[in-house]
Amino acid sequence: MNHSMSNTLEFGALLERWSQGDRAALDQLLTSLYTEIHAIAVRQLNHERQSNLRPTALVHEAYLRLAGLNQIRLQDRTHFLSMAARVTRQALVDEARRRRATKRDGGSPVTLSDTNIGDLDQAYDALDVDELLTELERYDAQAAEIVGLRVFGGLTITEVAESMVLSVATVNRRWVAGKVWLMRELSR
Amino acid sequence: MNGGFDRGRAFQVFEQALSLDGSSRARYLDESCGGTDAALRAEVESLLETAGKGQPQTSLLLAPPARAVENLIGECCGRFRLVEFLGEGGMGIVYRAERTDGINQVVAIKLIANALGERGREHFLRETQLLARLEHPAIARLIDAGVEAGRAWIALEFVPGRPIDAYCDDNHLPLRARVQLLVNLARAVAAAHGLLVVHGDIKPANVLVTADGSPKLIDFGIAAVLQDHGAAHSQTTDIGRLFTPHYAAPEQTQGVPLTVATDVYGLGALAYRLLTGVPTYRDCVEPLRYMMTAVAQNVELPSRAALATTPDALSRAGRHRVDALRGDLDAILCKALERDPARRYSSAKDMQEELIRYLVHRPVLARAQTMSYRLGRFVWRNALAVTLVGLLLASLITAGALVAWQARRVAVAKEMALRRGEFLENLLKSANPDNGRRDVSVATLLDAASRELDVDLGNEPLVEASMLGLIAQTNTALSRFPEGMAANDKQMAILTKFGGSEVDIGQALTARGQLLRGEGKWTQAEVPLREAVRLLRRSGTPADLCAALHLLGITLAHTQHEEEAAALYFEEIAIESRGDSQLQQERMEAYDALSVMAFEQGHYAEAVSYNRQALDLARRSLPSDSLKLLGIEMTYGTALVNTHQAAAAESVFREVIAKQTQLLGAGHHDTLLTQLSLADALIELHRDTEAAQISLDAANQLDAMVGPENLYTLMAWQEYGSAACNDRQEDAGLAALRQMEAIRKRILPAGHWLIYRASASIGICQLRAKRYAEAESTLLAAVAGLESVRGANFRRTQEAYRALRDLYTAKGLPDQAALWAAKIQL
Repeated sequence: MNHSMSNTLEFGALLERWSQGDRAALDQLLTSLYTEIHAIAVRQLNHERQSNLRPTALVHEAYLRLAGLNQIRLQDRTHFLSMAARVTRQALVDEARRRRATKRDGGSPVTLSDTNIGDLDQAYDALDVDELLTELERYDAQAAEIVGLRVFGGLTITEVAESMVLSVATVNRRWVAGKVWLMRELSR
Repeated sequence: MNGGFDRGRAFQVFEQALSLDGSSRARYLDESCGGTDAALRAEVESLLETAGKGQPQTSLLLAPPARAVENLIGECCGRFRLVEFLGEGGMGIVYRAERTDGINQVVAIKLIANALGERGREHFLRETQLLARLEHPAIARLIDAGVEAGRAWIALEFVPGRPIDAYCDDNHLPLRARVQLLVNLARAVAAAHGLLVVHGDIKPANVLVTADGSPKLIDFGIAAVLQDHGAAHSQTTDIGRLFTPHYAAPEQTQGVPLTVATDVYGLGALAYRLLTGVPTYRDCVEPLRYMMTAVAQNVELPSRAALATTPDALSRAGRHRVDALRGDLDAILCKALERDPARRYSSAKDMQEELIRYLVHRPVLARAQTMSYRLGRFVWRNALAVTLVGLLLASLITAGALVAWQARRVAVAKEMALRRGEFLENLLKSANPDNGRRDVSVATLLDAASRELDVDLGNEPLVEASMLGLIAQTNTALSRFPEGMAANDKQMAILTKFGGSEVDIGQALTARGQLLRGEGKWTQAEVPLREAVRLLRRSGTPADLCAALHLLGITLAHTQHEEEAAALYFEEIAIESRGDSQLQQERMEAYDALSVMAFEQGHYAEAVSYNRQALDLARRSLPSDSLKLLGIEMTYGTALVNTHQAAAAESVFREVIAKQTQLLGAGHHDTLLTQLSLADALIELHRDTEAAQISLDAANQLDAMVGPENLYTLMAWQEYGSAACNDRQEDAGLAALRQMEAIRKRILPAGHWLIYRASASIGICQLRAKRYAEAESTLLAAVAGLESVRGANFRRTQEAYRALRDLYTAKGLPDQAALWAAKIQL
């Protein structure tokens, strides 16, 4: 309990420093976010005896652990979610690679299922998703970023718009295109 | 570049094509891929086809992903054997089970997901025993509970029914039938509360409706039992297991212990879903988002949620549904769904009774207490304020959009504008009139609006000017003159600098005149109003012109230019109303103003006839609680006082005050003015103590509200001074009167009748104090003045005659007394 409490306090202070323009704070934020999300993912994968994860749930739990409920200002939330989306992608891909490499669980993939990628009852290989997003990034970095924020951070259209300083209509249009593309590639 | 085409290019073309349809899409594809790049075209077509299939929306509403469920069929829990898998909920999995001992009893067995330790086990068994005593026809009974291999289970009465939301929707149950179901549920919940059991997780999935249409609550009290031990197992990763989005009370998402208020909220949330068709905070599907939102924002007004989500909103049935929610049901649901538990219904029984009141068309209590009622009554019934606040909100949004149109980040700014509109609306909604902060809410709104303008509209001067105009007018309506003046100053500056139209300037000048009048600066008001009339005669609408004419008339009347004032009023009356209700109201007000002016001139017969005209028009076309009608009723009371019917006047004034208090509040400017008239009537009736008290109170409030140099504040001191003197408090009375006279001399033109009236009151007071020498000279001077500007018939002149008669009688000079007595009319 003490551990997570001090995490919360520290995290709040880092957010504050970062919002005041301290770049070093951002690195620390990302590091602690990564550690936390990776740990949650690993625990879920082990504990639930399954290979399926919901990125949004990971982010939300990390949020609860790091930011607490009331310590964080509402406008920092979008920052948090967009940071978390990037970090989550990294953490999941790292873990998936590790599992495949060690051949534990017979090299079974880490899969994702979430409301922002297709149906909840369908699961997609985290490495496939990552690879396709990297490909999309080459053609169209903005579309890839939008899809990444939605899929790995569970951000709403409005939050993505706010975070990337784009109009809601643009985000919506680009998201639809990006998502359709991703889903079709995944189902190939 | 695999597959013989550029995949990046394909994505680009696909996205572009998505935003086109029909022939323009085909044309675009022809242009982009031409006949030359068949592979590219095929790829884009295939993407478009995928997009065309769309994504099933229902998946967004699903709970966490279904996990592989262990097959436990055939296993035993106590004396039951599991026979069929029924489903999985937040707490665990549910099976249908039968008795193993041959007795024919079917139960639903719920296997709790979390393992229990030894202490948890004891607690669980003890608590569930208590729950087993809960018996009610609308509550599924808890039959047994146990722990098998560290895994807790409960056996519940098996209810062959369907979740209440599906039941209502599939059967197209009409609104009132749904409310009736809710009444039954609230009754059951109230009964359980009587046994100190809280449900803690009221939601559609926990209310089953059987084939005969009777609802049953399942899992009663289980949430609390588990919550007590949930803490030990908070390692569970899914926060969604701790509460149910859309139905959990805000405090519940924060882990606060369950209470009666939690269930009231749950009933409210269930009602919201059943009556509007959508759950509360419908966009907040994710637990975290729900938690953040439910804590920070009020639910969307049910009728609005229904409107937004009724696909046939424009059809008769759709409209009917929305209309049925508006008002009482909106108020009931909002009260049950208050974020602060203390402001909800204090029990399920209260809520049940309230729903019954709705069903039998009795007034509901929620409307008397929530924002939508009292603040609503204040704002919405005040015709002026309602229009202005409404316009203000609408214009803020429009203004934001206009600015956005030019701004660099177009749509972001538009979003911001919409959000600002929501913000202001929320501000208005969250105001709590119960705390006596009635006016503060609108005031806060206005100040927030002014600040927003400072920040956001700098590069759209004319939009800003019109917004400032609305703010100024609304402030005027609320008697917030300095704030209004500040907005008007800015507005005028912008209009002058950026070349506003004649109409804009005319309106702004009219508003300025009204503000100056409110501040008591009559002479200063004349200049802008004359200019406004000039401009608006040339290019304003009839309504604009009427408003300016009326204000200029009042101003001139106050500065004793009564003939010119009358001419303006008649011009106002002559403007063809053509059935326009606003112009008709202007006409009433013109008659009313003519009537008031005639009273002040001592032309009583004329005054009464104008008052009759105004009253006829108003009673015919205005509702009984219209503020304009009340104003005219007040003039009617004045007519009664001036025609020696003070007793009848008293009851008219009291009635007007009661309505004004209800509509505007006790401390409102207009209510205070009616109190002054009441005090005047009471003085006529020799009830001086009462009159002194009422007018002192009004004087202090007006002083604080509009300052000491205001004509109405001075009128209050006039009434107070006179009443106090009559009531044997000559010193206090005299002091008030002298100060009042000094200010009138300063702010009114020389020879104004109000100055003479002040002197006459001082003379009367000196007479009461037996200071005859002073009284004599004061009264003689006053009478000379009053006779010359108001005539001998004037009520105040007559008062002075009577005082002089009494004075000379007291001094033992009967001849002189007789001289003055001869002038007194009976």
